[in-house]
Amino acid sequence: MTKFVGKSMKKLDGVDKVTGAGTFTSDMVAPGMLFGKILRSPHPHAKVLKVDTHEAEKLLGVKAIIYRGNVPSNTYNSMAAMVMAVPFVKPILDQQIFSEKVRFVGDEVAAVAAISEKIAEAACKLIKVDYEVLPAVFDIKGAMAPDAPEIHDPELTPVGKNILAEFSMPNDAVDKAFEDADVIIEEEFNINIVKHFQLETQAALAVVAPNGKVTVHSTTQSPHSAKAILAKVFHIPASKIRVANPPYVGGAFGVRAGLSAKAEIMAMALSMAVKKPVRVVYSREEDTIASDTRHGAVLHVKLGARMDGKFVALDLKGYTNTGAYASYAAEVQGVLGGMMGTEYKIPAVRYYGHAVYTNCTHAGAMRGFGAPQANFATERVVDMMAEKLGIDAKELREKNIIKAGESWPLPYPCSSSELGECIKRAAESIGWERRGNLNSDSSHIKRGLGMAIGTYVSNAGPTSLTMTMPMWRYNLMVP
Amino acid sequence: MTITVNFRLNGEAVEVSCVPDKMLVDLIRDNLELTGTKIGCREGECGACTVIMNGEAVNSCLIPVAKVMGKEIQTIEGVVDKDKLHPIQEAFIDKGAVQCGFCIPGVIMSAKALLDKNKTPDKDELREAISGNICRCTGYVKIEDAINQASSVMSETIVKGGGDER
Amino acid sequence: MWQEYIFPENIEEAVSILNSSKGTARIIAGGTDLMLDLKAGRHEVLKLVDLSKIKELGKIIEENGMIKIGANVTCSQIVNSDLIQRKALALAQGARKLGSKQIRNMATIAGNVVRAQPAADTAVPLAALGAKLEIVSADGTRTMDILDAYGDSLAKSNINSTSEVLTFLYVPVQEAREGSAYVRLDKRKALALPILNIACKVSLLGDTIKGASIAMGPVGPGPQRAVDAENKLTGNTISQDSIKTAAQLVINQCDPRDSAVRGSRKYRMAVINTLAERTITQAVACAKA
Repeated sequence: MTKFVGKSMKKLDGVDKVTGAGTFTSDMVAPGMLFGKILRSPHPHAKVLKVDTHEAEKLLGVKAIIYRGNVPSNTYNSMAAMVMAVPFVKPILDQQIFSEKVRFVGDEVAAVAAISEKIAEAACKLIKVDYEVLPAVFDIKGAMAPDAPEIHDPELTPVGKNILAEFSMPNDAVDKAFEDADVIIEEEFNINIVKHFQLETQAALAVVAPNGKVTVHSTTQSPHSAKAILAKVFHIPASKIRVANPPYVGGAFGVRAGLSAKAEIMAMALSMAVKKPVRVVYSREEDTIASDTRHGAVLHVKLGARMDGKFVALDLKGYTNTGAYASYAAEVQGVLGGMMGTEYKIPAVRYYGHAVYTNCTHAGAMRGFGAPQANFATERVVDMMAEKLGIDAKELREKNIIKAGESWPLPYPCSSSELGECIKRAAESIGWERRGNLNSDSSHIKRGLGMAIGTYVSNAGPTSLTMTMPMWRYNLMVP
Repeated sequence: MTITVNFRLNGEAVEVSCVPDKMLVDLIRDNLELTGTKIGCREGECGACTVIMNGEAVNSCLIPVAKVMGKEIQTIEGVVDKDKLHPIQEAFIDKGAVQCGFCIPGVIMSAKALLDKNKTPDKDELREAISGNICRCTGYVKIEDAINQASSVMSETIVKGGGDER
Repeated sequence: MWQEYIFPENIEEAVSILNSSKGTARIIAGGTDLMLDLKAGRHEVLKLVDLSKIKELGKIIEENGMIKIGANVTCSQIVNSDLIQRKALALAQGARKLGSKQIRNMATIAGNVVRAQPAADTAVPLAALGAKLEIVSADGTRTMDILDAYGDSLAKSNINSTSEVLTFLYVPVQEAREGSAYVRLDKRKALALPILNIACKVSLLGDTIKGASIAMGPVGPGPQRAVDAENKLTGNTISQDSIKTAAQLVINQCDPRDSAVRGSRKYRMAVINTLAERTITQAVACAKA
């Protein structure tokens, strides 16, 4: 009956990709194209006192050098957050092309366009930078301490030392609910920073025409927001900028949901300076240290339940390490708080979180965007609760999962859920009934079975969180 | 100083002059403008730059061009037979083994190096052959399925005396 | 990174180039480590000297009770060599674990030894197998025990690739009633450095262990021989108990650091005796086969 639906269709880009004919950003060349390389800070925190490019300029083959003194200094946010923040939230603009301070090892200080990558790299080594090294801090707790170094202008962190965003879902009923709980599990988890390692590193090719029109091909996941951001960074009308993918992008997983770190900016700024196409391709090392990571976090979670297994309260404090710059700091906090416990029907839920600056590489969007951190914390204490109560972990979940029609922390009721069926089928497929009977005492290899459930948002931006409900309010404080 | 290298590339004799400290991957991509071979790390840790040299899969990012003299090099561009996709390429599309595509040329070259020598690898041989290629998108299962499909097509073809009998 | 790339026709020519270049020329083997070292600025070099045209260095042959392996022999060649599989098994097992297939197709075992990493996948088995190295320089030819190739600090080789050439490695043939094995603990099955690796060679006389050699890494600057464990095994009847008892002693010669890449000292000291037990057991099984 249907021609295509329900049939296996061959991927349209399959032939391009299996023959190597598909074009990615680093495959693109333009007539007269130059190569851009970036000079990066070796210090995690320092004032940039002076950038001396004289020696580097003399190197044969060098065509342009940019640094703080000759590029715009508009503040921006490199991610789509800048141009897509929901109405009551103002985007956090804390980046500049080159800042007066460097705030992580790898922070950009200058860039060179030359006739080859080799020459551009050699020129970078000849740029002399005077730094005033400052104390640095890499962990969340240390960064919030009263004597911690101030990483950004205190205007950006009104909530507290290095705290750039606070997200809370307050709920006074939670404390009382814990008093009525028969069993409480309270734990603190440390979540590591994770990196995308998408196979294609950050890259951009920018061409500025004599009439000022800019064409950028890059690895961005979002050409439209990239265009809008670049317009603000360079203070030129967005109508003069075109951003496109080459057509193919070698993976992303969130690392370029906006700009590709500083690849587009550097390529564009160099192209403007030299009036020729410039291609910037990050090395794997640059991509690793100087593009967004997943947020590391400290999660303090408390779950209360009755003896029969019914959850009565869930309280999560989530501190995210957003590194040197904001990127999606506020949004990740929002998703973290929003996703905690939404799989379960819990009468009293509370969230309180801070996004904290440190001198680590800036964190941003990565597959899950706060939900992995939240789901991990919740699911761990659910398992611990199951063990404490002596109730099977699957049964405990089934007892508490949200059902259609019920209310939850989000500002609209749950309209549908097949989670129960998912749990049932998943458990069947792995032989859940074998749990606890998988091992003989004599074997030194032990086997285990477990399960976890997770949830995530799905939406087109600008997104939800625009309503308020009587019981829960959403407070997102940003500068 | 320049170096001149003579070698065979995708079945044709080639002569290129370049700086002596160039790596094979840059010779292929920049001088010869064959951009199918990708650069993922420049450390031999990801396999995106895999090509076949004298029948063996190698990381072209770590090979100085001089080592290529007199050798047979095959890149992803040499896998297709005029307009006909190689069974490996067909299989990768059929099995959904391609997502972003950046690792794919390298994976296909590793697979081809294996299947050209051994048309019916067992699971361990297959996995060993691609264990030097990192893919961040697919989770490898469909890549394995694709290589298995290619293996049965390629060994079938031999038994039936050649020709396209799928 | 270099200005000239030279293929000498024979060993004498190679040595002569190194000698006259006074430290500015360096041997390149497979290049898989050297390219990274040059990029990182670990060496400065004007000339690279590539031995691949020298045919005699590409062979694996059995000669006078020794397996003679040329400097150009790659890890893949070792893995695929029937001779090595039968008569120096631990070396084939080690070579198979190095890097990835692409790396093994280029990397030589000679280069692996000279690079002097403490847990090099071919050097640890070579140490257990009692390999000897032939080094040629302008001063002539000398032979050294593989363990003497390691200096007293990390990755410091006593073989100077700017003035001398490791031409051949000699591995005593595994005779009847002799066996060897290699075991590696790693986070991933490929493209991963070993957390710990151990190689063992045993020779049996009836039901007793006539001799044993056990090499371990990375628990010191170079492969470390577990001499206390070796002595405990020697002369004893083969049994799982005697193997286990001897294996407990390997830590006596272990001094691992805390390493972000290799694991903590505490963890590695806690597990190495189990790995040693497995390696010795496998070597014994190989000897009996």
